Amino acid sequence: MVTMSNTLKKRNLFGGLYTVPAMILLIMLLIVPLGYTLYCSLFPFKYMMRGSFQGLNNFIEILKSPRIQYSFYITFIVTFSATAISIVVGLLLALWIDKRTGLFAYWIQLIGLIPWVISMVVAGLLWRWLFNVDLGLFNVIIRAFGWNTIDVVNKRIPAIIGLIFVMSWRTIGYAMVMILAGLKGIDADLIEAAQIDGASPVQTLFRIKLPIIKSSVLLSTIVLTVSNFTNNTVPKVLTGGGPVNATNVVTLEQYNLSFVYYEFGRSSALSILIMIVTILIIAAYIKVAKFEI
Amino acid sequence: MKKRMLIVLAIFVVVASFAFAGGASEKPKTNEIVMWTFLDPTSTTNGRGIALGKMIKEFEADNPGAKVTVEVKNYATMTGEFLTAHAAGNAPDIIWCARDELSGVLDAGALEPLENLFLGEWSAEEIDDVDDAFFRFGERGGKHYTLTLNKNALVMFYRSDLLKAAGHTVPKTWDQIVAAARDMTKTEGGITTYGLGQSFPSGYSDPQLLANWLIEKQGTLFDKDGRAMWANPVGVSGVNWVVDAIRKGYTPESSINLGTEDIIAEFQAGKYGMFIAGAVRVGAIKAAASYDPNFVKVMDLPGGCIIDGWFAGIWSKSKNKDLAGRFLEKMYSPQADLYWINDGDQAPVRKSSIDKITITESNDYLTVMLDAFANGWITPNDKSYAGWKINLNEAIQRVVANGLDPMVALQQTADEFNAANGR
Repeated sequence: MVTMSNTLKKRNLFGGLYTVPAMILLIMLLIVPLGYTLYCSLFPFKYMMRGSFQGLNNFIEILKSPRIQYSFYITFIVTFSATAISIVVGLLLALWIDKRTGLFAYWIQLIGLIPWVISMVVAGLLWRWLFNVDLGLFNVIIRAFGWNTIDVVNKRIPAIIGLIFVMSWRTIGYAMVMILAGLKGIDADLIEAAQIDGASPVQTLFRIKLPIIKSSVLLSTIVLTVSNFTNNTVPKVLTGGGPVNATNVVTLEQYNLSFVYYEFGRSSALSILIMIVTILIIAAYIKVAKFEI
Repeated sequence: MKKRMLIVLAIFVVVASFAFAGGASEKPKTNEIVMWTFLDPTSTTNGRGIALGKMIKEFEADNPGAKVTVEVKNYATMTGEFLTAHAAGNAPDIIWCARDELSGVLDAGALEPLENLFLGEWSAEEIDDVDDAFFRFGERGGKHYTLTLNKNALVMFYRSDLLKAAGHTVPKTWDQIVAAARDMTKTEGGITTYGLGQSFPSGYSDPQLLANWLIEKQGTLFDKDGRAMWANPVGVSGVNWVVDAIRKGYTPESSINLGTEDIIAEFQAGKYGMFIAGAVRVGAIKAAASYDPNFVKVMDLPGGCIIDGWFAGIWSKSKNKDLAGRFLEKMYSPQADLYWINDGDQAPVRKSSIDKITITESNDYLTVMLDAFANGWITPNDKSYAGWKINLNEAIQRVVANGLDPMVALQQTADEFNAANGR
């Protein structure tokens, strides 16, 4: 018995050693930078020059700033709107493609994934030019119908809608493929049994398919929420946070604190706050969906 | 046997993981210097990149075994990255600093005095050849920390064909500028050409006319303590001048969210008669113009131009300071100056190079640049002035988009500037 226990301990030791490379990478790439960011957030760090310890002052200043409060507000609106649109449209597309096979279905999936895989800078620039009020295709079409042009990126409400649209456009394909993978995993016998029992297509969807693909939908939702919440590139390129801070999402504020004003202490504090909010969102999703890991 | 194998394997994995981690931050070889800049020396189309490539080739040929590695960076974030790298102890040997950030870089002790490397050996004539407002900008406590490359002046670009068609000569005053903008504005086939392109985004942009207005009327943008000096009647009249151009349609309202790059692309497409940008861009702007590039001209601004440049220095903790210093000296040599001028469409960095230039119609922008270098305005380098361009832009944004009173908008943004810079 003692020998068995020792062997198990040794096996565990060796098993642990095999994880060392991965652990070192994780520590170097995640834990150390996180610790350093937390450290920086407790000091003034103008131009990377550390001042005297000031506790939570950076956090208090950030939370009191109306500009950053608005940034969080607009980030929530953009994030949840874009994620909801992506998941709903992605789900509808996945249900539609699920019934199709062959080259057509393959091409639809491929085309749907293109916005997700292309560079966000390219996507942002592409839409910025498509929305251009004088030369962009969007307004050329609008003019062709005899309507007034819309200056999408330079008017407050159109800029917010435009940003939500582009962020949704970028992630719909990803949601579609993830949900489709879940749908493909449903046992055909289950669907057939439901149909034999007289379940309508709507009942089949809500009573069988959706509960089974709940994990796929939830994981997609979490990934897309985090991706949208921390997305700096698309807002930076598409609207630059304007007009007049209308689309100044929190990551742009973080960028400005770091690379315009060189306030690395406050920028670090904002990074920590963004991380906390992201963790809370994920926890809330898991709680609401009663998801078990 | 099996146990031994497992132990050996486990040790190998641990050692390999450390080796892998070390490889990620491989140190440069002794005779290799690393430089951060936004120019790509392998480019075959960008004149400044071509010029830099020639200098590197010559330097490596003259210094057998030496290697210059250029890491191409985004110019908007390069100085910030350098500060972070300096704090982390792995910065490049040579850095090109942006003007508004240089004081912070000097405060951080991130640059080596050039007197310690090569400047101490220069003769009085050589010093005099480079001594100007840019050279003095890189000075602190009697030591020089930078040499200025790609000297720049924020000038007004204009289309000479459109100006002539509108019946105007080159405008010299604010009234003449607005009259020319008015007469160059026209709509044909549903597409409007605007007389005056301006750019007021919350992100990176070149200084706009409001800054020139303030400099002309009060000589500076900041008081002796470094506080913003624009929430005053002069500032209000400047905002009103700019906003009037927007409300009368000489400048599109979209300018409140357009960056310099957008304006340049639109000018090349034919959307504007005039706009402000760095004169160093003249070659690139002409190259992609959708009309005869000879129509692209530059002029100075009322009160003189704001001058700018890239302030190249040697990292204070560099292991290769001497070699890096020699390459910086090379980039500032009389021969290199000719490369910058001829290949890169740049203004000379040395006074002695001016005599070697023949001004023709194709490079007459150099006259405006040289005049700007002699009389232009540059931010002081004694304190941090980070973000002032964005703060001024946001004052315009708030008046145009939110209908705020100009004085209130200027006061808000002045307060934001002062707070962000600790004043």
